[in-house]
Amino acid sequence: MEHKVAVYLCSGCGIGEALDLDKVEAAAKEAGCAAIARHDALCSDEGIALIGQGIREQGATHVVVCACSQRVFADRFAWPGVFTERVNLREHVAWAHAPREDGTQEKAEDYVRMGIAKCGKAELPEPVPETPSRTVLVVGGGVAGMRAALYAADAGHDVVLVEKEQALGGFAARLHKTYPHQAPWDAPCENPVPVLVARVQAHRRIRVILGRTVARISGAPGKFEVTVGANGSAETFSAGAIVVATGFRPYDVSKLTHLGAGSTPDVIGADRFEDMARERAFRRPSDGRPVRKVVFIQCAGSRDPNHLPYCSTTCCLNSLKQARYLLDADAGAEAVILYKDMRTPALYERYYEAAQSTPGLMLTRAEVTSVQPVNGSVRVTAKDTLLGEDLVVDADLVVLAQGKVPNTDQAILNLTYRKGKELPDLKYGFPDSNFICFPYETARTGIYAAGCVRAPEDIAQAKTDAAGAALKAVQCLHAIGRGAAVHPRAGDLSFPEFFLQRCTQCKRCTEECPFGTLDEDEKGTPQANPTRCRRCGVCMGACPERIVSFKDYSVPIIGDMVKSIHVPDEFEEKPRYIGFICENDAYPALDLAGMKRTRYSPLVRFIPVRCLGSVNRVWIADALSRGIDGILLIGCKFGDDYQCHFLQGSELCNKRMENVQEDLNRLSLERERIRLVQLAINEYDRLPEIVNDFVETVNALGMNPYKGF
Amino acid sequence: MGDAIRPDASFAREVMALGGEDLQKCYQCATCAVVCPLAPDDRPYPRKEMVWAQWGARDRLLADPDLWLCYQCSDCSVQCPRGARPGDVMAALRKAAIAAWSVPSALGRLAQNPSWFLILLAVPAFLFAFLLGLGRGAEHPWGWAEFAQPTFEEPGPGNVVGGFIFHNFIPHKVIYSVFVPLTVLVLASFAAGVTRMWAAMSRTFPAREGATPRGGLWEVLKDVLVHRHFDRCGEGAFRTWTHLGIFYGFAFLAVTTAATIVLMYGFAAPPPLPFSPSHVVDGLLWKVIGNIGALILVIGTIWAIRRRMHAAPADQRSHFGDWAFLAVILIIAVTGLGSQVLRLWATSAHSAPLAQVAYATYYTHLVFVFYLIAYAPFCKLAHMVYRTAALTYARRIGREPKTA
Amino acid sequence: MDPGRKTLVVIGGGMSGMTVALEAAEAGMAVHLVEAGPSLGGRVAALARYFPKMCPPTCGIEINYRRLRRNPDVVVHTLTRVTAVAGTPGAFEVTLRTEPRRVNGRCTACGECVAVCPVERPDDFNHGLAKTRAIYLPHAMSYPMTYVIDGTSCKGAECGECVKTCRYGAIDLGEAATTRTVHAHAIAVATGWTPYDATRLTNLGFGRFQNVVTNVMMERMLAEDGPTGGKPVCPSDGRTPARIAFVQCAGSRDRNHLPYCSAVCCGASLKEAIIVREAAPDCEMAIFYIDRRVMGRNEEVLAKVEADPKTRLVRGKVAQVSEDPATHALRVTAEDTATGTRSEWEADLVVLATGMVPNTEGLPLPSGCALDEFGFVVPDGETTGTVAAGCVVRPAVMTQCMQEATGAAIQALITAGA
Repeated sequence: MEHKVAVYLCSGCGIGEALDLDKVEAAAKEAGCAAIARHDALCSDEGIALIGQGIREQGATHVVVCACSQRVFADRFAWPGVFTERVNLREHVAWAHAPREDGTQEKAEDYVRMGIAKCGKAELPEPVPETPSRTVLVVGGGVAGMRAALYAADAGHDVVLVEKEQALGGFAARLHKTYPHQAPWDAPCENPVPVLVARVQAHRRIRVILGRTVARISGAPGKFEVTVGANGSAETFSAGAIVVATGFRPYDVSKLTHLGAGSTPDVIGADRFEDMARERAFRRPSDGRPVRKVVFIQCAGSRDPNHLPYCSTTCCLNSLKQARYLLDADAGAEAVILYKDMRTPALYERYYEAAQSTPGLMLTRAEVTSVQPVNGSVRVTAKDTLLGEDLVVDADLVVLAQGKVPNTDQAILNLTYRKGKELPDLKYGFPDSNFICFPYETARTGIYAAGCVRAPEDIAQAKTDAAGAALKAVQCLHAIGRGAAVHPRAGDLSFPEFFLQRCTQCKRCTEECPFGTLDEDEKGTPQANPTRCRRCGVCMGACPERIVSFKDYSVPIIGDMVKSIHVPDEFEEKPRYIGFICENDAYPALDLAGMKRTRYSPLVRFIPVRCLGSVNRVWIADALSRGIDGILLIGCKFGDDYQCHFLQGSELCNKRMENVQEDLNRLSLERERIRLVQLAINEYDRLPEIVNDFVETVNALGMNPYKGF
Repeated sequence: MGDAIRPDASFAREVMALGGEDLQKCYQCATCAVVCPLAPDDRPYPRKEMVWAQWGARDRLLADPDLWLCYQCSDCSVQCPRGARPGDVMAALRKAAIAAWSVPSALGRLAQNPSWFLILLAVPAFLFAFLLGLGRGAEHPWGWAEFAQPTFEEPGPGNVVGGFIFHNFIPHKVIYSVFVPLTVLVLASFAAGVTRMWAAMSRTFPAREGATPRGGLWEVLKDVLVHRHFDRCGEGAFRTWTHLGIFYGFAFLAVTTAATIVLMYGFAAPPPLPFSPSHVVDGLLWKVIGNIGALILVIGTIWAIRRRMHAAPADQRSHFGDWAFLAVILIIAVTGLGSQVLRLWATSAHSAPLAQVAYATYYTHLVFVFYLIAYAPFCKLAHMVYRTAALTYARRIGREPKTA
Repeated sequence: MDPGRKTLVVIGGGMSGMTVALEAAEAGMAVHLVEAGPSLGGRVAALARYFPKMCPPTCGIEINYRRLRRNPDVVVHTLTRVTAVAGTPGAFEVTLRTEPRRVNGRCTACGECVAVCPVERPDDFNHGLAKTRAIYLPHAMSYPMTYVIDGTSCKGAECGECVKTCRYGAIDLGEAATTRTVHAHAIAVATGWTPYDATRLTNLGFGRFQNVVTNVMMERMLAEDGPTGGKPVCPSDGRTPARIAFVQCAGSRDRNHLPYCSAVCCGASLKEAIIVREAAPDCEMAIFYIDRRVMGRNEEVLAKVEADPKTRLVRGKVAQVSEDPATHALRVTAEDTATGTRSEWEADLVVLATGMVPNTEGLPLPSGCALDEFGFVVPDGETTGTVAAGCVVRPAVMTQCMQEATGAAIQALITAGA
């Protein structure tokens, strides 16, 4: 279909004062547009009506709104069936640079050209809705798994719950009681697991498969093919989304020899003490004598760089509960809890307070120095108590409040994905996710983690997790039904298309996709799985053959924008730079800088990209060979605490810079002409320094000799 | 100190039973040790006592001089974020210390047990009843015989004004033959108890290296006489005046009693009956001092009772021992004054029935005085001695309440 | 909105409320997002950084704003309160009262009006550390990006300078409050929290001593876009503090104030200590605590602060702060419970880690929806049709609020029978 581009110029908000709009208009006409109009407030009802009228009268397919940032009035500047490009003459030009100066004017004209150039190839995405399987697979039948199954089933989805043991309940089934999760906070509560198991088993939408594990998962969200069990007993079914709730296992107590493990049978883990309580048999494993005095050692393995570096979250509350098991059963018994910090956050403090008053309970902060059998009892020695004094307790039994190890180090999902069978982990075995903003997302679309496999947590938090992961699973299926992306580009209807005739099977796209979207056939040709895709464009940035395209975002589209920038010849002494900036953080940061009327060099033409990882090397090479003096890349922070919305996009871009340096060498250009900067959204005050420093550094190198070629 | 602590839950339970029942609520934030206006900066109380008490560190606590540096203003209890009432725990620990050090300790435990109160009170009641009965039929009839028919004496050498006199009801020598040995025993008990406590303190809390002694008994007495640290306690003047009233009430009465004994037996002076113009100095003066003392005591005690009755919930909690003590001293003061007034009234009215009421009041007075003296080493009053000793020890090891 | 959809009313437009609204909308519900203030973003918008990643919260807010901008299924009502809730689960009638913004949708946020406004007011977003004019943008990340006039300080028609200046006819000084009723199948409560009134902590000097600030004020100081540009400052004279004391549990875990733990303060102070270290490399810091409550993998943050040679973590609660009136220098008194020594620590700035009070006073709730003894909502999606998320349920760190808000969406979905 022929593209008919209409350009609308806004003169409001200081744009008219800062720029000679006649010249901008002339530049737009020169760039080629079907119509052009001006208004002093395009965002007003009258302005919107003007554009709407223009669309109707001229049959425009593409509208270039040259006004404010794409981050404001997005709802107003939208017409069904019309591609709208926002050219930011306000925050990025009029508010950022001195009015009526050449540099400002030239930047505005370039921006309008770039907007028009983008419309040359960009088209509205055409969603490809699929009818997903409405079944949710839940792996793991503990509290988180059962809760997730119930939530998804109550929300109207069929659920298959796979549990490797012969019974539902997971670790929590072993609990004699739980500590309270809501008011009243005064006493341990009944274990909710039996009720949950009954609810799950009675639910007509939930099918429980016990004693089996997942042997294989192929396909993609909306159409996973799941094989459960092995050999003769294997069965295969389809599922739309997956909740992983394989829980945790208690840390292996035998590794805690520094806390007396192995020195006597009377040093046990908290899990064993739970068994004793359930069986109402507080007897010493060594000689069967009744236990009258017990010492609980907290952080047994947790918060210990040699074992589990993290806090296992629930052990403090759990020991307060376990001490009561004994003290409630035996009025003369004694329990001592030795802790590093008593971690009973939020309203759990109420339970701590209530539990503290249990007769026979003693609590102190202490660093345990030794645990050893002495004369038939176990002697615990501790230092750094609350008085800096040493403490010696001879106990009948020592309970090590051991931590939680996520069950991720074993075959759980057996994905047939090119990038591995299991969920990639971030740290300590917990699945990778941008855990603040996308708590349940994993690095695999449509697969959500809940419960202790995600983070050490308790039954109440497992319920919250289960609800969250179930919601994400349900939502994922909803998105697939609309052909839309999930978090963080939720609702994006575009998806990458691969022009496979030109594919050289270099496998870069399959390797670099952070989400394991792409599989390969035997030859190494990528196989797109649109429902696995988060639409970040990292594959597009990776592809040396430029075969990956979105309808509204592609190598040629951005390439045309680059080409549309007017490069004055060498003798004009007007250098030109391009900034590829992440639209998630760097672009809003530029907007904020504009709002604060921060001034910086107008020589850089900023092009927003979905993610720095989507920047294709060819844009840079093309730009430099056209005489652009330097390329500034601004993306999210990377490293352990990465801020990239697509896990590794900015980091990947940084790695690719090595290849880009080859291009520079080939062109005999200085490496300083390219710079990658990590910027957080709130660091907009740094932008002038970043931009000006880059401009000055490259200016000092002299003009790019390729101008005019 | 220095030895590792071995937790002992039974002692923790004992402290809780003695009035520190909220002990276990403490989570060791140390608010108490910061808000205490008296605790020294180095190892301030009462937080460490809270830890020791939670751990049941019996030996340390009983020998802890800091227990006695606390005057229980309850600032710590008011500000305690957990409601663990460190002030009450300190008070309970002092009780435990008194019970532990007093000789014989068994009596110490009984004296702090509310259910033994009446039994212990019955001892002097029966003793005096018995003594009064013994006199019947003797050459000079006294006791119950005198009670049945009170003697109105005409003025004479021993009784310038004349009238009913208690000497006829209970001869002085009977009283002294009871109270003098009793006082000796009590003093011996105190001496033994304080010696034990002192030894334990020296063992458990020897002077730290480099500590400078800060005087001894004389400095402590000077502090006590003006309640120097007491009034710096956060609760302010009212409680100080209350305590001063009771303190000086007792002091005046003690002075009167001592002076009378010395004058009567050392200098053969007549009993300090009023209206004997020839004995203004050796009679009337002591009488006046005694009456002032009694009045101060009554006022101080009533204040103390009122203060305890209107105490804020977070303020110090009153236990049986506190009420019993206040009741006993109030009864002593009231019956003392009452005996005197009733006797004079009976005399001026020439009324035998009134004299009988006066005799009965006097009997009650003697019973309660006996109770107070006999159990002094074991009940609340003992703090007078133990605190003085502990404060002296504390000064010896260079420890004294923080100065403002 | 599609009339066939199940409708959810979300009360509270902070991070939790926005998240519930978006998650539910992205799963197919139609949502009214009701915010009492002039902008979405809530208390998260005022934070310097997120714990534990030290990333800017504005990044997460921007993600949600972006989702909102694209999603026609969420209708945002700012300056709006729920005044009544009638009906039963599946058929609630929710009455919304919208206070006048006095600036309408024609506002372009150009900011010309601010220059001519003659009235200054304390900036509540910055806890009074800065001032705004009577017409102001709530904060740089406002949503909607529309100015607002503070009706109590604005002089009204007698002044009218802003009306004359605005080229877009966006100001209506006579705008009146409006009331409307919306139908809802389910209700989500996410009204968040208010910092505990630190003036009640009389021994800690807040309100009497200028250099005693609360942790929410400290967040604003340490925020790059805050009133001090991301630097810690002594309010008395604008000096950079050489010594900062963080007082944990300022009101929390205290039966005389808030008998519960406010859950976020340990992490917040550790985070603030890390930011201070970046902004003021020589600053000495002490964090006085009872228990260091940073759970899970956040242990790393604790380790990082512990490794800082100029930051001390002292186990002992500060129960007293005093001031030298001449220099405004402060002294905090605490006992180090590890050594049993009580000492005074000199500080130029004292940061009180004040706790959280749930925003439920005067909040109309459907019958059957209960509040606990402290005013926290006791959520029970199954029976009342009301779900809740965030700090109105219990004090919670941001990550937990996000998790709970996500989970609340499926409860809303189920409750509404979507």
